[in-house]
Amino acid sequence: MRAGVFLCECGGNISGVVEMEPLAAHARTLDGVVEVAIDQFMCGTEGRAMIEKAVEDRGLDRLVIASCSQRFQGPTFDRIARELKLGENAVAFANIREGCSFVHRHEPERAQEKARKIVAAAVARARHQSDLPRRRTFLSRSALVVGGGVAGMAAAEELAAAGIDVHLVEREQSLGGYMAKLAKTFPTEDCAMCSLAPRLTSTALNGHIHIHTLTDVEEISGPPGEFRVTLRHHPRFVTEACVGCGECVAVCPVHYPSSYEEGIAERTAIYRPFANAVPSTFAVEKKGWSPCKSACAVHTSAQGYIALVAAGRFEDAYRVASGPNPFPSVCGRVCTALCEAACARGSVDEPIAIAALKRFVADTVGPTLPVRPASMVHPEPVAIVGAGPAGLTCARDLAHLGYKVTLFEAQPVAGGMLRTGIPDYRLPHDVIEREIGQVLALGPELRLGQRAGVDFTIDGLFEEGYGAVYLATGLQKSAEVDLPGGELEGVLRAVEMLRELNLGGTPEVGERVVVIGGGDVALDAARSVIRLQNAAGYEPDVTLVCPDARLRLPTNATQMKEAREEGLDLEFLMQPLEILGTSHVTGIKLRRREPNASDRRQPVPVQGSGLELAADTVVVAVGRTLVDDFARGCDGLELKDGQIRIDRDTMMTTREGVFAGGDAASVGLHTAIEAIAAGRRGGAAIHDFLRGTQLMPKCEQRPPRARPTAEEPAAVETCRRIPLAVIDGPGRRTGWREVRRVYSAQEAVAEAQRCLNCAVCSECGCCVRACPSGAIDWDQTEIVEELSVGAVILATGHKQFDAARKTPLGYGRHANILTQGQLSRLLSAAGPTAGELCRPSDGAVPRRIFMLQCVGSRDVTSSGNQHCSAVCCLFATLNASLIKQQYPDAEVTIGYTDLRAPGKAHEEYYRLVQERGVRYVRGRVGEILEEKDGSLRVRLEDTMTGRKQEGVYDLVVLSAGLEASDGTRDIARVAGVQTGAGGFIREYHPKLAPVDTQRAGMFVAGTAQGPKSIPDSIAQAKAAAARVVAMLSSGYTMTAAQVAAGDPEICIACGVCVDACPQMAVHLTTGTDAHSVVDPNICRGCGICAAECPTGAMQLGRYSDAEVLAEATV
Amino acid sequence: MPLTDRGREILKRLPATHARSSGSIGCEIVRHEHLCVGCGTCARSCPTGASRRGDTFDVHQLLDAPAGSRRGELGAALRRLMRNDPSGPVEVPPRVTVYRTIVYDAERCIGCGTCARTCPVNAIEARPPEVRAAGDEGSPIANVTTAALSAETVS
Amino acid sequence: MTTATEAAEVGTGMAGGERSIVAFCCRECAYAAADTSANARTSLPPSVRLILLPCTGRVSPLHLLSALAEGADGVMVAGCLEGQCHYREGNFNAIDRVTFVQRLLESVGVEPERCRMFTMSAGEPPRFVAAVKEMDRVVGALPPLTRCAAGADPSATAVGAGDTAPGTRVGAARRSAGPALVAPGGEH
Repeated sequence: MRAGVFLCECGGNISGVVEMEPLAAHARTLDGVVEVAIDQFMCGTEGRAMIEKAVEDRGLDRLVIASCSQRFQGPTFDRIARELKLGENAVAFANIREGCSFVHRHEPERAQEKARKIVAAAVARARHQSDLPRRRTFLSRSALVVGGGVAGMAAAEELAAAGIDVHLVEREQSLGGYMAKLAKTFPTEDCAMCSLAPRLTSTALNGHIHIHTLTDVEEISGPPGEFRVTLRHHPRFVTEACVGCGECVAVCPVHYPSSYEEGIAERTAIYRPFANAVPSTFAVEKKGWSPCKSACAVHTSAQGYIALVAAGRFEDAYRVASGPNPFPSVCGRVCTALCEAACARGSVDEPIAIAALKRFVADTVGPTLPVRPASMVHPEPVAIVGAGPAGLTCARDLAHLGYKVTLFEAQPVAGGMLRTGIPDYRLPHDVIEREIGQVLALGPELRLGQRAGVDFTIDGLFEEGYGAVYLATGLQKSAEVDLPGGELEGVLRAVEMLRELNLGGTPEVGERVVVIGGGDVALDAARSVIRLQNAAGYEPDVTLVCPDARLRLPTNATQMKEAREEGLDLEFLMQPLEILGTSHVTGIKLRRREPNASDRRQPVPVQGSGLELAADTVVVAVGRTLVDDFARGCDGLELKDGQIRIDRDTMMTTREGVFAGGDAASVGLHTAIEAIAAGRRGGAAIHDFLRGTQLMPKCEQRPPRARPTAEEPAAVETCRRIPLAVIDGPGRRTGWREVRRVYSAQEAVAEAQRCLNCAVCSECGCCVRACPSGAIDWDQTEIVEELSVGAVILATGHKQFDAARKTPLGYGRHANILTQGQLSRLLSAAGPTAGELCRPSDGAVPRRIFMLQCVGSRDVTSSGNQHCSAVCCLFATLNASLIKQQYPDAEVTIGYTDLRAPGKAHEEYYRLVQERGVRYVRGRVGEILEEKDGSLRVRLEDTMTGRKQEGVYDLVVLSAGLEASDGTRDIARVAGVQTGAGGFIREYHPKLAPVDTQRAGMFVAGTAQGPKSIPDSIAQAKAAAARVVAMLSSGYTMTAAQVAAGDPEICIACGVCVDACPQMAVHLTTGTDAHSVVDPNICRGCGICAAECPTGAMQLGRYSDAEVLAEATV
Repeated sequence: MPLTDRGREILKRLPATHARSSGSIGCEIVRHEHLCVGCGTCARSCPTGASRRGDTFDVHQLLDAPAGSRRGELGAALRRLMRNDPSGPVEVPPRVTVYRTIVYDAERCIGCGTCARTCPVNAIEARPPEVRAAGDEGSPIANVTTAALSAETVS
Repeated sequence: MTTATEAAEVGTGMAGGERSIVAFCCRECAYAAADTSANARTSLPPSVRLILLPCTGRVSPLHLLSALAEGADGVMVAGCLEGQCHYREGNFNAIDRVTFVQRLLESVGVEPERCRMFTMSAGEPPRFVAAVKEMDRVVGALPPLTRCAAGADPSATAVGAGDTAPGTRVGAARRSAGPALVAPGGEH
């Protein structure tokens, strides 16, 4: 080493405390030092000349600079060394100013000693310093701008002007950001949209700017200059064919609080936030399937028809309700209504009466709509065996698809169990017959009294030329009773009894009847017996004996209640042991059971609890079984466990071309809606089979189920279900009239309005039909796109502090408290009130208005933020001024903490507004209380005078502060940049690098960095753009010298460094000479990896172990 | 062969002694702690989780480490300051990774020798059993280990 | 590393009997705070000498122990406030390494307070000054740090020397090593 030591006097700052000559003399004694020089200002021209000369004359290869802190002049001397061709790491620094002379002024002797030591340490260090490689990286001339607010647009336009391709990513539906919501801007009071709209247009038209709305940045990896960016485009569900006519909005029944209008107005599920939106294409907000739709076996959009009922559009509602289900009137009566169990409204008060609404729609509209026959387009006729709900549904779907369908039904009527199993009082025969008629009107032929295996065979059908057969024969027989005495006279089977009844017969029942069972059939039988007894002139005496602790699904509580009202005795946990009697039933022997502790559905018998019940008729309703006549003459058909065996993906039986569904080949509950679902699957499966398309699994993937977020149901005002009128209990025993009445139109609308619109878009399809350009595309899915960009600007903005977090202020509880953002929407000419100020509770123009500043800002409590939100003083001043000019009578008071107006022309504006009559009170508000008339009592402590005062105001406006938007928090995580207080992205240096972030090549602009005004945001955006231009303009960049590097000879490839690196800059190679490799483009030179390395292979440039130890151990 | 999460789960369910009793691959594992640099490769590569990084550190591993090694340098510095012999192993704070004594659980070890093969500093020796008959069908656990559990065979 | 070449210094800190403390400071916070306080001409105890590092995450136990072994009576690490490291969590690594070194020192009978960690923000020069003064006071109150001569204890290298040649790094030895599976009846 040939080192030169250069001692700087710093114009007396150093030499005033440390004597330079003795220091120089000591330096000369140090090993490797061949030159020592002193200068007044080593950083000046003279000092530089001195260094140059010494390097040349004495052949120096190391410079030891003893001067001020390396943090100040380090780069200067590094540059000198670089220019003198001494390489990247030729300078060692001895900080004898901040490290010595400045801090030991009163102890010159000890300062002298310490200076010697500092210089010696630097010389020792210099011996270990060696040149460091730097690498050239080529830069992609493109940039990513995240956030399409005013800052993001300004940055994008600036970059585009420099010829750089910009990908402008916005999470929302449109560009514009927060500025698009403002009425006017301070201090000039010019219209915000008037200045923003031209920018929106020019950004949209700029050929260098690629706009990605409804898009999230999912990942940013790779080095600066060639970042790899992963974008996730969320579906808009509207294509670019959209002409922006707004026909869809007119027909959309879903109304949802608009975030653009700050929640003070509603928008539809298909929407465009504001007229000047860019892109102008509408978008549909879908949160997946609503819980009701997910729960429904045929996925009827209950939310859809409910929204349409709420809008009074019953015909459209019927179209939605009947779309997937040919039996809406039936299901509105007898469906198990799992949708109601799933309904999110249930967590607020009571689920929506979905079934009742469906019935209302179907009963009101169904009979009025004519059905036109479907046209036959396919040659193969299809036979359907069994005209129950599954068979009829399958027939309808196939008819719609253009097939000629023939239905074979063994019974003299169609409808299956719906017709022959459910009594009139629950499902009137004319209702089911009407809906069957609508199916048949499409074209299917119905042949009654045709029993498969008896009157015809399946094999025969194929011989006749049928292309496919659908078996939906149901479970037509009561299960056998496994009880002694089951063969006695007076023992009836429920299925057969109900069938006789429903086909017009009058089954004979005695005076005392016991029904055994626990399901729907048992209850139907019991209630029918009550009516039969009544008709026969007996007092109703029916006991339902249920072995379980409760009735089986799908029987719901309402039905049970109705049955009790009619006089039914229900006995739970009763095990029938024997039916008593010699030839005719005389009674039944029972034993009481106790619920099993572990499983309430498995009761255990109680010893010695036998009892007897006298009866002359016992009706057994313990299940139904398959009548397998059809299997005769159907070669290859297999049965299994009392069911037809089918493939669950193709719905095909073991016989090719024969499909099955419904109760006879069930994949779920034996309910009407499951049978309808089976029919739909069967229809689709047969179509797939006959048209030769690939057989797709029929149990499809469901979109994510939507639920309102946790706070939403809590925020809903409770309002219980509108009750459904019923005929009074004793009265209805006398006949077969339907028990439940239908809603009136008024009741239906009121009930429908309780819906929470869980999925936002209800998929009712109204917009699809209304759109003149066919632009609505529900099949759009998320698209993931990868980009390569040279640099990134983060302009993800802020959000308003949630004022409800300051509970004593009453925001969210009292109607007439708004935020400044909401007030801005009210004052906007394009806002929901067209610029009229009216208070939310009664729409009156408020006369006395109080504005409270610093809500959630400058707040040391845990519920607020410490920072000043910078814009609120002027924002309130602006809104107050607008009110004062529009309503000169209004009294506006602004309660402030400190009035801050430091921006250009802001103080002048504040004075002007004061002159306009806005009153400013310096004060703190403890609490805001609501008066009976909705006015607000504000208790204020005047912090100037210390007096407490109270005032009553018509409207209170809170200046809620600014905090980092969710987008800012998300992008900080994705981009790996640091955030500080309030969640804002931290700049690299608060003064010197205000738009740089911790990560090279990533810059920050606008309110993502901190609260600021619009001009400041734009200025910062343009500064960030300038940084990007500067970075990308050279086409390449040099990596830093201070980066980590592993010595492959020493490295043992253990991977400790890979785990340690905070930038993910290290990876391991594979193979026999595996070792670590640091990407110098990513490495930021912290040295954490070097400290972790167990072998010392990993070293940090400028701060190797040897250098640090040499300096530390002198 | 890094262990998959699934493999780890399966092994957790096996009794510790199962490995040995069912006939292990059978190498005897000898660790030379003074050579260990604490890189944790053995712990990562062990198919049965018999080796893992412990929560304590035996100071002798510094004092006895070879000169010139990183631990040796640290040991030399510590030796200069020593006033008494180490009072026992020291607890290691969570973010200190390489100064940890590897905990070796002989009960869990199947003697496959992976650690010895992968140890980058030859601090582990695997001594094969005296005689191993040719055609020995091997143990079920060994097969499970190599085939199903290692090296993310699924993905 | 620089293996100690000096003769054993027994019983004293630096020449003149004055104590010596080495302060490893991160560039972003602690060194910045030091510069700010120095520019305000705040007096500091001369015992503390600053070493600039990019981040306290760069400090390894070797730096701390070597500084103590080679003459410092105390070492301190000064970094960013918790949660505000400019490299995410380098200061947390440093905190744990300092704790580890304290435990090492304690186990061989040396006062653990000779090694301390302090955190501060760049905007808190008084916190830096307080840390330095605290360190000076604490270390000043301790008895002198005694040291053995470098390599004085022959057993220190005896074990290692048998396995690898002195001065070669372990990693280098790996390249020349034989097969990992040693035949039965090998050297042991």
